[in-house]
Amino acid sequence: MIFLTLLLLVVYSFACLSLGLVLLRCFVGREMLQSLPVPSARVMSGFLLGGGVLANVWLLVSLLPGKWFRLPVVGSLLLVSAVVGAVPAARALGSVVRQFILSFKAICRSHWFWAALAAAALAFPVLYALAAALPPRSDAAAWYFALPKLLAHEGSLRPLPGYEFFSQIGLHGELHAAALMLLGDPRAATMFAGFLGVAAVMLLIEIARQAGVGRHGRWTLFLLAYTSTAFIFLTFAGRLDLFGIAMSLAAVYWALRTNPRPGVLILVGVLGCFGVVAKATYALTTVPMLAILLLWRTWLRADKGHRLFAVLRVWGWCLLGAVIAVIPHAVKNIVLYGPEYILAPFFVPATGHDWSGSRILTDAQAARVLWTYPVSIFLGQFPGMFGSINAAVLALWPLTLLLPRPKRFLDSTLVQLTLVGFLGVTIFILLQTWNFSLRYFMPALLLLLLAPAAAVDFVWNSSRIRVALKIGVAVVLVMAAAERFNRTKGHPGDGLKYILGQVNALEVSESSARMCQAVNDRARPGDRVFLATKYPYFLKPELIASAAGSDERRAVERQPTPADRWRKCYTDGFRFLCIGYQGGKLDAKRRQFKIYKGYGWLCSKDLPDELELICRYWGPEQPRPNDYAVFELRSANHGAHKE
Amino acid sequence: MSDPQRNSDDRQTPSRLGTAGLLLWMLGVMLFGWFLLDGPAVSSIVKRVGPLKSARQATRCALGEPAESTAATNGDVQP
Repeated sequence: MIFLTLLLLVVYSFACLSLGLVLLRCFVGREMLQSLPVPSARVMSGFLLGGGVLANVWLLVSLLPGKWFRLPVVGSLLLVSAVVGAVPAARALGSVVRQFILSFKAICRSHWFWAALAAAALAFPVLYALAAALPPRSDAAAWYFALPKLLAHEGSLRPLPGYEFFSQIGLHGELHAAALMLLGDPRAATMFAGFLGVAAVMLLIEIARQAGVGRHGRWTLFLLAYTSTAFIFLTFAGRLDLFGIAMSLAAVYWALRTNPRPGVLILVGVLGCFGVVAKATYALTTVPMLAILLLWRTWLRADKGHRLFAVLRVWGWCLLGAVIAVIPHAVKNIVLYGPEYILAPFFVPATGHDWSGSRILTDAQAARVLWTYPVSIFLGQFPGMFGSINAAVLALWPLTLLLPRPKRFLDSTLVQLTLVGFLGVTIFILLQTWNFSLRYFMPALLLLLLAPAAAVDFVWNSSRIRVALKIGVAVVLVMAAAERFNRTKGHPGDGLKYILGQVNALEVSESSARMCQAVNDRARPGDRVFLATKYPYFLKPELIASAAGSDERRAVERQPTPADRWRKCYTDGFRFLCIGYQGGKLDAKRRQFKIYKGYGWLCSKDLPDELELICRYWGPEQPRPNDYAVFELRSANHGAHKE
Repeated sequence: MSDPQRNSDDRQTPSRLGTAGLLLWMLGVMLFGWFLLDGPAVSSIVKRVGPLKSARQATRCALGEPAESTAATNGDVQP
């Protein structure tokens, strides 16, 4: 089965690449494409551009009146995309494979140590590709993959019940996931992120090449990215952040072109906008980074009297690209929420959901982030931080003092990229200290890996540097890799067992999967689920579709007496209640519960005599005991006794 | 685009003291990272040496780890 999954992924990715290369040629022209030093930048940019355009096509198709997001439509469009640029795409892929083999051979020839390190670095994407086969977890099981499941089932886009306002955010990876689910393989939907991870790192490496970072530095960059948990965590478990990261890096790559023609600038705007749509927080990092980078490079190159005009021209073309790219998102918000939500989640009416009010950390924790900055990025343990950047980056940063001083400091691409990276990180940390999750400003963080990678390259290759320091650098790199091999994050072992069929999806999933399975096993046609937990993904799609929406929950809550709330639940067709610690309180001893956290108020003690609750699932024991329960709600006349 | 930074090797070679300082910093940071984030062999050493365990816990708390494991996002899906 895994071969079919991989085949589907390859075909899907090839369709993205094929379409993207055709579009890329329209934007930047054949000459510029041929002038690129290596084919991987062209291939990765084409793959991302094609993927971005396809995601928007899926979005528009899913918004059409009727149910157009069906297999024949998606399959046909995918086939057209795959055929339209098949020949150049196949050639470009061949070139990339040759480039990669040459690069690996060259690093192996340079020293045995680098051969070993490169081999170790390459093992990480493979390990995490195994983990990526695992079913979605955490927020992905709550919304990011539940919405695609609903879309693939219904054939048209509508907000997920219980998360009505959440679809205001940009949809990107979700639409690819929906298309892959529709093509028959939910596992391919989670594994697609692994491809995006490789694309993001390849683009980072090409950015490094633009900045003059040598071969050893570029392999160091690969290692540092794939040993940073903040990056690794995004390659599996159904995370979709990598779409925004890779798009942002592609935009940065094209922003580095010298004397770009309008098409290139429009492309920067399109890719940057795709990145921001895919991850809204990149409005605070990618946008200022691109704006400053373009300003900086244009200002230095323009004639003295025309600098301001040149900068405005460059920004204007980029803005045009961004406006074109944001149209499908705006259409989606108008169709689903109305014209006043056209620029949600950035601008919403006063009555709408306050997206800026979301805070993960307390004031004291946020203050601590600032006190311990920048150590907090590398060694922080803050709640919701979701991984850190490898401490080796912090260890190697002082080596940048040894780098040769550029002849013209401000002209150095490495200096420009490093400073805009700092700018992106600083803006985010100052404005969003309470949301100190590195994935929220990952593109900027990844640019900060360039300088230490360049320093490693310099130290290794310079004859003036003492051998002791070279050995020290080697030790740091070995430790960086060893730490990750020692504690491989994301359960690649579970992934391998799952791929080989030794364990099933329930055994390798979070306990919410077993909770949902208990419902799936018993639900009859027409039964509905009242969710007091945030994880509907593992329910059958028809149960997700008919789950209690926010309005229905409010209607339950508005009933005059507690017993009436239960009667309302029953008459509305809710036959199962899924309760998690996010929705209320579970009393394991008495097998009782109370739902009170924004999901309607229900208490098992208030059940009227004519109804009965039967516990169908209670667990798990590990890691957090009694997190979830499933109760069946039915008439007391049913004849069964309470369990 | 060629980068002027790569064209010259015009910095002074770091002194012995500078080299020692850089080495100390690099290895210090890495060992501290291993100690804090359970690098290879760290767990078994920390288990045997009691004060190390409490020192590590205190450092983790200083770097943001809550005293008790709590649901980081109060149950909300993060955009």
